[in-house]
Amino acid sequence: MDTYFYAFLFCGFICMIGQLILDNTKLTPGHVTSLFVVIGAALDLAGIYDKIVLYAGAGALVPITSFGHLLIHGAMTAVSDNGVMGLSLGIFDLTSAGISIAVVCAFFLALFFKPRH
Amino acid sequence: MKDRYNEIVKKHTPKEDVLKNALLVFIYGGIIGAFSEFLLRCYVLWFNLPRKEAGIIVTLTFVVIASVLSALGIFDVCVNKLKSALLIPITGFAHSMTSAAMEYRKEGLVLGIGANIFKLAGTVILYGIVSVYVFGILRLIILGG
Amino acid sequence: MTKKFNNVYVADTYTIASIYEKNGPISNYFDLIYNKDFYYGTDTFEKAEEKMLSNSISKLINKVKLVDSDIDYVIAGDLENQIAASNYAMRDFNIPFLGIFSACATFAEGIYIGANFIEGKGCKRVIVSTSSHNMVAERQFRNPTEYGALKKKTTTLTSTGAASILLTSTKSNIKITSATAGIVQDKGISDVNNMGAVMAIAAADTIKRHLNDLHINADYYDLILTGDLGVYGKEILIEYLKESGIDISLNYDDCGLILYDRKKQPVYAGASGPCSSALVLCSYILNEMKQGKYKKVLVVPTGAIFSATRLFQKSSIPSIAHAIALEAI
Repeated sequence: MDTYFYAFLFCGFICMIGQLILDNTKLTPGHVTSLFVVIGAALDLAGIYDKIVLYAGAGALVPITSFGHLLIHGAMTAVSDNGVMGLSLGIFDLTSAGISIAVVCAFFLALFFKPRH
Repeated sequence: MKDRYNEIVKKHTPKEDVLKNALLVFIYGGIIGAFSEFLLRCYVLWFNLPRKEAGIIVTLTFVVIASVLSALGIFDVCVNKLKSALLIPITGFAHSMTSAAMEYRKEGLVLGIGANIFKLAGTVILYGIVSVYVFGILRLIILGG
Repeated sequence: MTKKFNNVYVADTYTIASIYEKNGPISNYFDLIYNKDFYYGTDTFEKAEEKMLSNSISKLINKVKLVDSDIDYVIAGDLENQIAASNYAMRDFNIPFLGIFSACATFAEGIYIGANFIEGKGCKRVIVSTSSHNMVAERQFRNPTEYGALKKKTTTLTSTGAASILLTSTKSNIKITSATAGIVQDKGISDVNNMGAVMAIAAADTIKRHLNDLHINADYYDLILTGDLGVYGKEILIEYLKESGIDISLNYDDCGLILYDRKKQPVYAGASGPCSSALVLCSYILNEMKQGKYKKVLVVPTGAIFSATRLFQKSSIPSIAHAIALEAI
């Protein structure tokens, strides 16, 4: 039950920070999402993101910060097996599913749907 | 005269509802967060998966939903209301790719879709990869592995 | 430079509008409304804009019972890169074509040039046309503003449609009495979501020079119109002109607020685009002038003449406004 609460809190909080940045600066959504990815990577490096995932469950996996976390996580796991080369070898281990599904969905949907608005 | 113009502009430029937006986005984002946890538990139960794998399937679910809603033209309308609550999660990433692919389809598979599909998502991928290398190498230097 | 005209008249107009305009307050005044979708029977938005522009010209020529060879020039422009809609649309006609660009002030620029041609006895009939398309503009300028991008309260929405006007040396009941060409202004604003603020300065400058050159006051006109300053740009213009001793608060409105109803439609600060001023002028305003509601009207459309590339290079947004004075006789 706790996890639901922290999931709500964390995801809501990250989204809110994003909105505040968009409303108060000239940064675009592209800037904000890139910033968050880097922050997610940094937090994982410090071992903090894993703890957040423990408390907030999927609520920590859904924001784009998680993308950074998964990139680092995969890379660091491979580093412990393969040394420095692990950075290159493992970087997409955990994110390959997300990226590839997004690409494939986008492509096939684009073939069948026109922009309407 | 130059300074007075900009003063007058400032006077007649309305402030966005920063507080209202922040609150709404917090709630909407929170609901998405809680819902994703709910989905994760469903997947653990139905498919007998460990939490780690189920977590990945949850993100995939959001990718597919966001892509389909973008294709149907519904996602744009939702983003107007939910703003960052839809752009910050992985849904924003998927939406940017599907909407870009749809927009440029008429320009061909290679020069249209191929050249533009990562138009908005590319920056996330770029800085994600670069930060992994930078942080990773820094960490290896400082901690030695 | 303000030029006075003695034998330039408006023969007729043709206007084509789309979904948002149909739901607006002056939908009954348009010649043609296509509200099925944004494709206008074609398969891309760009081709739709081209076809709307082309149709507005051909249907205008039909309306006045003339043929291509009767028209001396078409002067046209639009918001697309390389004014593609105009260039491609003119393939349908056997008429000499001069393409022009000043963003949302294009229509007034065209009338300025066309009126000068006719006054100088260089020709008898000139058609001035413009078009805009919401989806084409969104897509093209989407670099600074993104897909599901969050719009601000000051954002104006590009209108979709096309308008053509036939200027002639043959007397009619609407006369073009004078026109003032704009001077580029730039107050250092680079917010694409606040075009009202970007362009109000251009309207102010042109109005000041116009009134000065003709030695008249603002109340000489029954109505002064800007093209697409939106609700906030309108306020800025009124206050800024007041500081120069010019009061337009009683006889001034903005076409972007006439074309769309801000209270009923999700249009933020109002309509924008080259056809914002063109549609309102050619349909509603000229009609009201013929009915006797307005006798002397000054139309001052403004244009934000920037490029997305320069915007990314941290340049601000320049603007320009051309003024056209009309009188019902």
